[in-house]
Amino acid sequence: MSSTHLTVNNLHCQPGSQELFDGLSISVAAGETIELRGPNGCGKSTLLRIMAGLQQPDSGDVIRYVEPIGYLGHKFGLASILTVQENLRWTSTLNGAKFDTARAQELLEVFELRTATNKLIQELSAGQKRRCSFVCLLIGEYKLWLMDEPFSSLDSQGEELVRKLIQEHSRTGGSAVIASHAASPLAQAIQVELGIS
Amino acid sequence: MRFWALYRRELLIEVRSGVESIIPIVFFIVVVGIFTFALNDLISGDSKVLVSVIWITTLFTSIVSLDNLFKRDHADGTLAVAVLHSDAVLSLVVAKLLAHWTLTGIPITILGPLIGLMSGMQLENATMLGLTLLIGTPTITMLGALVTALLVGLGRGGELLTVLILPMYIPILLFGMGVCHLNIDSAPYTSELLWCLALLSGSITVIPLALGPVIKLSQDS
Amino acid sequence: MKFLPLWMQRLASPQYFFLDIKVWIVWLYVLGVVGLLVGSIWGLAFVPPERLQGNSFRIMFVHVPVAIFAQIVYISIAVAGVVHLVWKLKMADVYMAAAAPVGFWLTALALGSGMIWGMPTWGTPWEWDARIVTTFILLILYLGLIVLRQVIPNPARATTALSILAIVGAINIPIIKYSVVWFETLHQPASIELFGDISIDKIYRIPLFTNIASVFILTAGIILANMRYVTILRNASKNWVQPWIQGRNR
Repeated sequence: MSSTHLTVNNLHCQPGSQELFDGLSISVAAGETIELRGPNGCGKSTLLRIMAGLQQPDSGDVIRYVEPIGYLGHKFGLASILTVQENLRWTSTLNGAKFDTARAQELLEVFELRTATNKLIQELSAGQKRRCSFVCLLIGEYKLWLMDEPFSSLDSQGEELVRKLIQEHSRTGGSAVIASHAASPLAQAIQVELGIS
Repeated sequence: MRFWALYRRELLIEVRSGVESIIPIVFFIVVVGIFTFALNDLISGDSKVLVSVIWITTLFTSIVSLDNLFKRDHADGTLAVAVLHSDAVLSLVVAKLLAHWTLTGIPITILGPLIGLMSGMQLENATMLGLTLLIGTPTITMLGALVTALLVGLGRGGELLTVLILPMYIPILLFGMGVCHLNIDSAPYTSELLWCLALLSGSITVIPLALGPVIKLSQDS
Repeated sequence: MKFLPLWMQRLASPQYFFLDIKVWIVWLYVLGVVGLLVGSIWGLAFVPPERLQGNSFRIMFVHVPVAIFAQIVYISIAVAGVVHLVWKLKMADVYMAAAAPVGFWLTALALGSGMIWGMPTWGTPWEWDARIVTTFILLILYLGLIVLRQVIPNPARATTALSILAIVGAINIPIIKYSVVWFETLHQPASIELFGDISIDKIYRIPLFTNIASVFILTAGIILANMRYVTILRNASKNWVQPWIQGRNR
């Protein structure tokens, strides 16, 4: 039984005149955390979008063994005129799961969003929105997380929380690919350096 | 189960956005009003002009309303999240189409004949107008949604929509309006009516299935 | 693809297409221009005037071929759209990009020549009748195809969007064709039917068919030349293109 969640083979992508990836191959197994590092414009976000299937590479294969994938992009992925609770409910609807109110409350408590449960997303601060999209990720019970700059707009306390969360996720057999600019690398993460060729 | 939950969410968003959601219907009433005012001596009771005016305004209303169909979800990133759930995309798309039709198609189907009756149209002709609108508005919604989906995320999509969409509407307009005109003339209209139904059933069969991949592709900017 | 002969397989690759097709284009141009000259001169000078319309009918020898291919090119674009969606063939995409402007000008010519013809016979250049309106819409459809490619920066997305637009738009073609039958219009019924009688006198058939064939050949030539141009644009970074960009060819 294979425990691979995602493989990328011989990837080529040339959005402008510049070739990204240059035949990159990555495999993401259960319990693994991969951290993508590199300067701006080296294709971290593009790679994550290709992995998620939101973008097509020029050539190369992406095989996803787990569906659906939890993707956290630059946008929060939250409907701004719905409340926090309604957004969480929508996520579990998409997954075909029954909405577990107790679990949602518990997660909101962890992320200090309890008081914001019935607030509209547009009334929240950027940091709170970011926290809320993490709650969505957890409610969705995705095996593979793809996160683009997950620490942006979070305070140090929030960042610590997310780091713990990712560790916990990989301990329970989940995998994650994270593009980050954070000063200190994630614990136990496999570092992948993307360069500009 | 899942479908109705998704449908409720679409309606909830529309209701929350307040006046914005009824603008298309207001637009419909205002434009029909202006037409009847401007063409005062042409429109009398059972004239074909009124039927044509209502049908054409229906097309314009759909252009006004469709611009927002995927825009909001694309802007806040929920569309990207949704397309990653490949087994939910079809339900989501159908929920969106149905919600759009509920808020524009159904009111137009009711208002169109009502405006006709107020202007002195015979009950039979007004009923036929309502029937063709009932067949036509979902077709218009689906065709429009398909073209709108091609333009998701492009900055200047709105203006282009008119050029791309109106040609697609011509068949349903010709047949829908044709049935009403033939009915006013007491001529047989069965084949035209069947063509309307054919366009509707063709759209129902193909467009919801095509929309998923098209929306997914639109994320690839 | 085993069942195709080798020369056809070669055409599916941009490079060999580009190299192989040049000879074809020259011959198509020569044949098309000669045929068009023969057909037109025959039609204009050597054929007796028509019983009802006098000499004004002679524009038929331009109007009919151009109008036929205005529609056929659109259908072919829709077919290329299907080919692109199903088989992801690169040349289908190149064909769509190359044929859309050609179809646009053919439609414009059909409308223009129709207006000129309409003045003496109907007494008006433009009438809002179903046939003219639908041809006008064909023009807008072509315009949509051209504009859509320009506003979508990503080529893969642009091609798929174009394919879908072309296929949905193709619903209009049968309506253009049969609107003459379905709706009462000013336009005369089609003169030529594929399966059925030809309502044109024998004397007029030969120059007309010569012109139809020539317009077909010329259209094919122009589209192929355009495809070569699109191929070289798409592959500008490839090695085999360099000598063609920098100097004249070898």
